[in-house]
Formats: sequence, structure tokens, C-alpha cells
Amino acid sequence: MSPPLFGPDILRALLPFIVVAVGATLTTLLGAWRTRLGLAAAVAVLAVAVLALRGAPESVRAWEGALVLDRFSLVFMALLLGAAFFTLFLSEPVLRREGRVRAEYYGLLLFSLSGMFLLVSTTNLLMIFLALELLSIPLYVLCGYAREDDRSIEAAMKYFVLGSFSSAIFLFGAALLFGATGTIDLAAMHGGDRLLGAAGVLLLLVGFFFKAAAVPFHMWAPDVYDGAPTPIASFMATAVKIATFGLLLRVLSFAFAAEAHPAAAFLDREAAEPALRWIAILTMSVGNLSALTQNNVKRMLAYSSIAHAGYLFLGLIPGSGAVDGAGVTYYLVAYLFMTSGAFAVIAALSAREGGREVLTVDRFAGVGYRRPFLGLAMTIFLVSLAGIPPTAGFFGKYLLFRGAIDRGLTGLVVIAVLNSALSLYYYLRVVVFFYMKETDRPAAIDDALGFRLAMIAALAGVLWIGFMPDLFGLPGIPSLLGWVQASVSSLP
Amino acid sequence: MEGALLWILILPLIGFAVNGLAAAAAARLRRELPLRFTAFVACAGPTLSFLLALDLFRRFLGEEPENRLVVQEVFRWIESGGLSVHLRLLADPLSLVMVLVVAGVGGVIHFYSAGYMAHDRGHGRYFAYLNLFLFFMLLLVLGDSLLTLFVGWEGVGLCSYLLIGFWFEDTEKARAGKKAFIVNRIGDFGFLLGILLLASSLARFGGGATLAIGEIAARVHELPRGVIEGAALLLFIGATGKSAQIPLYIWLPDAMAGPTPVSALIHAATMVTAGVYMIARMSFLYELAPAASAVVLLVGAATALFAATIAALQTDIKKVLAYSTVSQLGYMMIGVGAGAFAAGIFHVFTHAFFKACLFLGAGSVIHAVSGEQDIRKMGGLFRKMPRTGWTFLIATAAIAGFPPLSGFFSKDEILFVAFSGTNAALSWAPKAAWILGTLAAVLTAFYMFRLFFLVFAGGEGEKTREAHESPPLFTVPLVILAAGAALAGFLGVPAALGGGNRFEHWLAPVFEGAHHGAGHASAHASHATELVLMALAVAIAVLGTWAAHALYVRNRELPMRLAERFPAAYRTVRDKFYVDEIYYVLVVHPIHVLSRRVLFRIVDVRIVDGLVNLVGHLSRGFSYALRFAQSGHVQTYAFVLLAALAMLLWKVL
Repeated sequence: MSPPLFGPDILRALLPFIVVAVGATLTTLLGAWRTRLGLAAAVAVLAVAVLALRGAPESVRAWEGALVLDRFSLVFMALLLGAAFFTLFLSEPVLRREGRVRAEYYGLLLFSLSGMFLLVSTTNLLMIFLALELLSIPLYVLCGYAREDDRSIEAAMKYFVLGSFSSAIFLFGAALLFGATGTIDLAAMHGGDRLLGAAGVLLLLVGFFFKAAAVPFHMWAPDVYDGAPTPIASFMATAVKIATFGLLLRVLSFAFAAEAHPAAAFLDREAAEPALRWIAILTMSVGNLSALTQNNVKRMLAYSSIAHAGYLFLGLIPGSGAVDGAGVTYYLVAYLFMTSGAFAVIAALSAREGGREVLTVDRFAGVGYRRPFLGLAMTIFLVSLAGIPPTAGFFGKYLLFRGAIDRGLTGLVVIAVLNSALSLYYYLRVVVFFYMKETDRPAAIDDALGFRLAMIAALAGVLWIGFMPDLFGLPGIPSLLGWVQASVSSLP
Repeated sequence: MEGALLWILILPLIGFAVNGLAAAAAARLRRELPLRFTAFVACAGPTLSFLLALDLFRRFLGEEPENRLVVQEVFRWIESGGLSVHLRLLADPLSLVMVLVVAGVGGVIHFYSAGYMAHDRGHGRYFAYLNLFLFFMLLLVLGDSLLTLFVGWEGVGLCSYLLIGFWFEDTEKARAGKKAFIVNRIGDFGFLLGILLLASSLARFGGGATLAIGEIAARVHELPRGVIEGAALLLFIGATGKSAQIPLYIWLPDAMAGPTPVSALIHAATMVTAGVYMIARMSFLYELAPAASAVVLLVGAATALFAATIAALQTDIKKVLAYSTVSQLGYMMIGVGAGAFAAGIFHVFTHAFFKACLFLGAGSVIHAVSGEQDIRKMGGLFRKMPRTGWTFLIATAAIAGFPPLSGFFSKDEILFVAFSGTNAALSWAPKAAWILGTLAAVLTAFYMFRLFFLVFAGGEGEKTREAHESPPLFTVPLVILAAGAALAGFLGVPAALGGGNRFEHWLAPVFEGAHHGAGHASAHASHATELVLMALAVAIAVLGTWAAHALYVRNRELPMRLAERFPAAYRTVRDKFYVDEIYYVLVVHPIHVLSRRVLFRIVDVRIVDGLVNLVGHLSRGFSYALRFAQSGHVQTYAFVLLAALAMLLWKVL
């Protein structure tokens, strides 16, 4: 049953990765001649990637799990492409405003995206490590892209140091797992030393928890999001989270799927579940409580994204059933739209004064009157983040929480619902300021086209999912829920 | 006929879209919208909705009672796996009553708003929100599934928030709006858990989840008793938020910061009754949940009395009416808690008339005395504002329970079912509710006539010299509502007085299943008892009025002397039993401290603010970044990471 080493199917499966990676290289090279064309090149690369994704086969496993292309990875790659498009929309106006338009920026973004693509389509530990590094290293650079801003450099440095740390932890875990089982393919692990294996899985997970900014592995996130250029913060809050949760879903469903892979279940369910529960509780509560007193809106959004990771953790706990892949994926779709939208508004308001961004909430007084559309859009994004119907955020939460109750996690759901009630407070605070009387030092509003496109796309997504959580209506895309559910059917 | 249902719902939404877009465009062009245009658009929606609903009502009358049902499928909302939710509209006698109240009283208040908002800039936005509110309220009463109901439920909360904070320049109002929204969210937390519990238990015990109310009703017997009680209690927590019951009533008095027509529409006539409506809609559930019903009964009765006590000493005209609303909502809860769902809804119906009339009358008064709201500075307005005065008097007598005005019939019905009702879980609960409700009735007559005497009777107050009657846009709605307040009761004349109680018969098909459950009353007690209770009710109304007259007309110094005599009691009641302060100390403050002191101080201020300042002095480039990395703080982060990892390994392995 040895699969072919190469063939037309594998080639077609590789195409999306090749397109993005080669595109990233070419875009970077373009910097030597026509550096202003970076955006055009990146858009072209993403467009070709969309085509490559549409033509990709739905079930390919090759090279000891180094390449696993199933519906799950396809769905996640599509989400990542969406996040990348949003980031591109936000990037160009910000770069232009700050006089930093360079093709390398887009090249780095695409490199990072190629790492994310790999991350969600592999079960091979070495490949995961490679993908994590490919994802992270360009991001370290991009976080420090606003070179004149101290905080940007600080963010890059912090992310780099702590990121390396987490990579090392991951690598240690991978080594232990390999030592225990003699293979680096998660799907092929049969038997081995239990203690070694369990320690390996835990270290592995901690590496992922760090990337997902789960409490208590989150300390870097607020500083980094705050310091990084806004489009990059948005990219980290959306794309990195999507990729990491994709990977977590895959790994945890292997680790917990005792029936399917008896030997792969290194994690003792009884011991691991309380830990996951605590992480979920801590992540949502610390995220929400910290967001409560933030005056800086970007920082508030950073903590809010931590809180949302906490809700997502509900879906990772099997309880009396299995990992809720559909719930998590659906939530990520909603989360992508509302978070990208909120960051687009912030980006439009984040003109620098004396080299740094001024994003305290009182500066936004009256913005809602000066730009009615922007005000309305921000209100809807925040209302959706708080989980109020009829918006995407509500259905995401509804499905996730209901799934959790079905699996007997009632206590956790009570905490989660309380948390989301609490979150309303700080989301509404921003809305209140948006509709207050203008101050004498009003925030500068950037009306660039890119911001508007991003806001319109995000708004369409939030409302579309809110009003028709199921129907996507477009030919070829039958049903969002069905799509999501079909995607997780390829998990163990 | 089916199409009409959708139009009833959509028309206000169209008004919202037109006014909203026009207001946005006007803001962009820095122009003012003509009031004629915005008011016309805003009033057209509810008026047409009301006419359509009337037409539906006419058709229903021609049908057999069991055929009075229209269902319209709008679209398939979620359809996947085990979950299927359709957006369906459902009109039955219950929802039609609510639609008529919402669109009818709502429409009248829209017209009134056109007068009230004449001098306010931004009326386009105001009318847009008002229409949006109507849309969500209609969605709430017309939706056939709990999920649709919940969407409407959250939607009206959002509009209430937007409208309370209508003058956002004013932080006080913005804060009141936020408080209303957040307190409601605490209730919604219970509501949402109730929905989740129902859906997931039906999936577990019955096979296949559903949120359609009709299907839940058909399958509710499959559920274990504990689940039913639990779900009923959780849903009731939601109702305590929206319908301002103990302990979540605190937002409603503050919500009076909004414009007066908004108080009339949202915080008196419609939105706050959503909780009562929801319980009536889920009557099949509460019938099977005697313990939860007892809780509803007692909370309602306690709220009725408690709020009436507070109302008796308030000096702000709108605050008195606000606490009066809380108290009246308590009565409605007694009704539905006693299993007499028709009686509860009947009180919703009559209350909408007299309370809207009182609020609009108060608005007319406030308008006439140039914004003053302190009733101690008013007086003698009856001669100056005869139309406002007469309509206010009629509504006051109605709420105080003077026959044959509407409040007499509906309140009497509720007290009667409480008196003769039984409760399987807590046998003394209905009687206790009756005692509390009767005491509250004395107070109701007292505080309402106190308000009336202070504002309209006696000599001129310091603020009332210049007052004059308001224009017809104010008074015509008042007359309409006062007529309703006077006459609405005749729809529900009880059998003991030779009436047919047409209101109860009208609702009978909806509550049919609910009649053999916990505590349906009227069959048990004789007409004689009912007549005695009625006589008692009249005596109570007279007593309360007499007390108010004695204290505030004949002997105006007596209240002050009483206050000096019992200062502690007086202050406690006047300051609303310090409930807000208690909540602040017990709930709000600790959360703030936790957030600000602990998390913010330790994680944020120290690390970020301190460091960024330090970093500012260092040179740029790689060297400072490295130095920074050595400054100990990234090490803190790394340390936390490692400690957490060690903890994790220790716990799991």
C-alpha cells in the first residue's frame, strides 16, 4: 500500500503551494525593479492561487503525511486566502500614507501565507515545524516594518524572542514523539512509550497555544498587536489564528481519536481535558477582563482576539463527544469577517502623529457623524464581536455553545455566555464615543479605497452570515454550514 | 392573506431604510432634513401595518376559532445536519393582539413624536431608530421560533439603547443607555442558556433539535421534569431583564433619560412587555413547570409591591411613571405565573393604553413647563391644560383601578386568579401573591393620585406660571389613548358581571393546552367570591385616592412632617432602597478592580507604559532591541510561558 511518490494528482495538489511560494519569490524580486507594483503582483499571485485551489484534488496523502490535501485543508486554505485579501486591502493605503510602499512587504506576506498553507495541510511533524517557521519569520520582519516607531521594533523583537522560544518547545516535543514512536507522521503513530509520547504531545500543543495566544501563553500578543502596523496586526489576529486553530483541530482530533488510532491517543483524556478547560476559561476571562479597561482601541482588539480564542477553545474540548471541528471552523469564518472589518476601521483612523499611532478611544468622538458609513460599519462589527443577532458573531457563538452543551460542557458554556455579556461593555464603549460630540482634536480619517473595500466586504460577510447563516447562494458554493461540516469529515 | 403578514413586518423596516439613508446623506451634505418628510415616512409604516393587522383581525373574526392561524415562510435560515431553523412568521390570536398594540399604540406615539421632536436636530435618525424598533418588536411577536424571537428580543434592546442615548453628547444619557443594554444582557444570558438547554435536551431525549415553538409545544412531554423547570427558570431570567423585574429592574428608571415618546413606546407600552409575551407564548412550558411558575408569581408580586413603594416618594414625573411601569409589569407576571395567561396579556393590552397616555401626558406637561420634571415645582395645571389634564385624569383613574375603566377589569382579573389559583409546587404562593398585589394596589392608587394632585391640582407651582396647552399633535394622540384606556376594559368584562370576557375567549385557542395544568382559576371559585373581591378592589382604589388627597391636597405639610418624623425610612425609600449602590459595590466595582488593579496594573501599566518610556531614550536599531530583550521583561514573558508549561506537564502527566 505504498502510495506513489509522484503523479499528476500530487502535482495538482502541490500547485497552490507552488503558486504562493514562487509568487512570493517573484514579488520580492520585483522589488529590485518596480517596487511600486508589489500590490498588483500580490493580488495576481492570490488570484492564481484561488484558481489553483479550485483545481486541487480533494484527497491526496503523500510523503509520510508531509502533504495532506483533503477538504479540511482546502477549506482552511480558502479562509486564509480571504484573510490575505483583507490584509492586502488594508496594507497599500497604510504603506502609502507612511511612504513605505515596497514590494518586499508583499513578498514577506506571501511567504508567511505559504507557511500557513503548509501548516493546515500536513500531519508530518517536520513539515509542521518548517511551516511554523515559514509562517513566523516573515511576520517577525513585518511586525517591525514601521521602522521609525519604537513600538513596532519592540513588537518585532518580543515576537521574535518568544516565538523562537515556542518553536524550541515545539521541536523538543516533536523529538520526544519521534523517540516514542519512531515516526514523524502523526497519522502513522502506532504504539510506543506512553510517558514520552504524552510529554511530546503536550510540548507540541504548547507551541501551538503560543501561536494561538491562549492564556497563559498569550503575554506577547497585546504588545505585539499594538506595536505592529495595523494591517499586520489584523493579519495576525485573523490568518495566524485561523491557521493555528486548523492545526490544533487536526492534531487534537488525532490525539483524542482513541477509537480510530488507538496508539495515537497518547493524551489521557481524563488528564488532558481539565487542562484544556482551564485554558479555555482563562483565555476568555483574562482576555475580556483585560479588554475592559483599555483606552487604546487596537490594544482592546488584541485582548478581544484573545477572548475569542477562548471561545474557540470550547470547540477543542471533546467532552462526551469529539472535537467540534464544524463549530470551530464556522466560528472562524464569522471571526474572519468581523475582526478584519474592525481592523479596517482602525486602520482608517490610525494616522501617525509624530511617528506613532494615536488610537485612544476619546479621539474617536464624533467619527460616527463625520463618516456615517464608517460609524455604522464599526457598530455592526462590534455588535457582531459581542455576539448579538442577527450578525455572524451570534451564529458562530450559537453553534459553538450548542455543540459544547450537547457534549456536556454546560459549566464552560455558562462562563462563556457570561463572558460574552461582559464583552459588550468594552465594545459598546467604542460605539458610544463614535457617536459623541466631536472633540476639538478630532482623529484624522483616511478615506482610502482599500479601507472601504475591506469594510464593505467584511460588512457583507457579517450581515450575510447573520441573515442567512446557511445560504451562500452563489453557484458552486452550496451551503456554508454544509461546506464546513463536509470539511471536517476528513478528520479522524 | 399570507403576504400581508410579511408586509406588516417589513413596512417599518422600509421606513427605517428611507429615513436612515436620508439622514446619512443629509449629514454628509451638512443639510437639515425637512421634518415633514421624515415624520411622514416614519408614520406611514406603522399606520399601514396597523391597517393590515386590522384587516387580518377582521378575517380572523370570520373564521372558526381553531382556524385563526396564519403561517408564512419567509426563508430557510439554517438547514444543516441536526439543525433546521426557518424564518417563519406566525399570526394567531395572541400575536395579533400584540401586533395591534405595537402598531396601533406605536403609530399614535409616532404621530406624537412628530410634534415632540419638531425642534430637535437629527430627527431623521430618531425616526429611523423608532421604525427599526417597531420592526424588531413585530419580529419578536410574529416569529414562530425561539431563535427569531431572540433576534427580535436583542434587536429591541439595541434600539432601546440607541434611543435612550439619542442625545449622545450627554454622557449621562449615554451611560443610562449602556446600563439598560448591559443589564438586559445579563437577562439575555439566562434566556440564551434556556434556549440552548431546550434545543439540546430535545435533541438528546426526543431526537432532532428544533427551535420552532409549535414543535417544542408538541414534544415538550418527552422532556424530563427537571429540564422543563430549568428551561422555564432560565427563560424567566431573560424576562426579568426585559420586563424589569427584581433583581434586574434597575435599568428601567434610568432609561427615562431618553426622549419622552421613547419612554412611552419602548419603556412602557411595548418592549418591556416582551417578557410577559414570551412567557405567555411558552405557556405550555410553564404549565408543566409549577416550581418555575411559583418563582414567576412571587417575583412578580414582590416587584409589584416594591416598585410601588419606591414610586410613592419619587419627585421626578417620569421616574414615578417608570416605577409604576415596573410595578404594573409585576402584575402581569402574577397573571402569567398563576397560569392565567390570558389575564396577563389582557393587562399588557390595557396597560399599553393608559401607560402610553400617562407618558405622553407627562411629555406634554414637561413641554409646557419648559423641561422641568420635578413635580414639587408644578401645580395648578388642570385649568391651563384642560385636555392634557382630563386625559391624564382618565388614565390615572384607569391605572388606579376605578370601574369601569380598563385597569379595573384587567387588574381585578389578575388578583382574582391569584386569589383562587393553586400551585402544585408551592401551595401558598398564589395567596401570597394576592396579598402583595392587593397592598400594591393601595399604593398604586396613592402614588398615581399623588402625582396627579401635585401636577394638576392646587395653586400654581414655581414653574407653571407660563404654561399653556400643547398643540393638537400632542393632544389628539392623548385623546385617542385616553379613550382606549377608558374603553379597552369592556373587551374583558368577567362572567361575574354578566360579561362574556371576549378577550379570554379570543385567546382561548392559543392557551388551550394550558388549561389542565398548574393553576387555572376561574372554574374553582364562585362568582360570589369574585364580586366580593371586586368590591374590595374598588374600596382599595378609593382608599388610596383618599390618602393621596388627604396628604397632598388638604394637608400639604403633613408629608414633610412624616418625613421628618421617620427620616431613615423616608430616605431609604426615596433613594430606592439603595439597590443601585448595592449592585455597584457587589458587582460593578469588583469587576473594575479586578480588571484595572490586577490585570491592568500588573500586566499592562508596568510592562508597557514603563518600558515604552524607557525605550524612548535608547538609540534606535538592533542594539536597543537586544538590550530591551535583556531588560528582564521579555524574560518575564518567557518565564510565565515556562511556568505554565511546567504546570501543564505536571498536571497532565
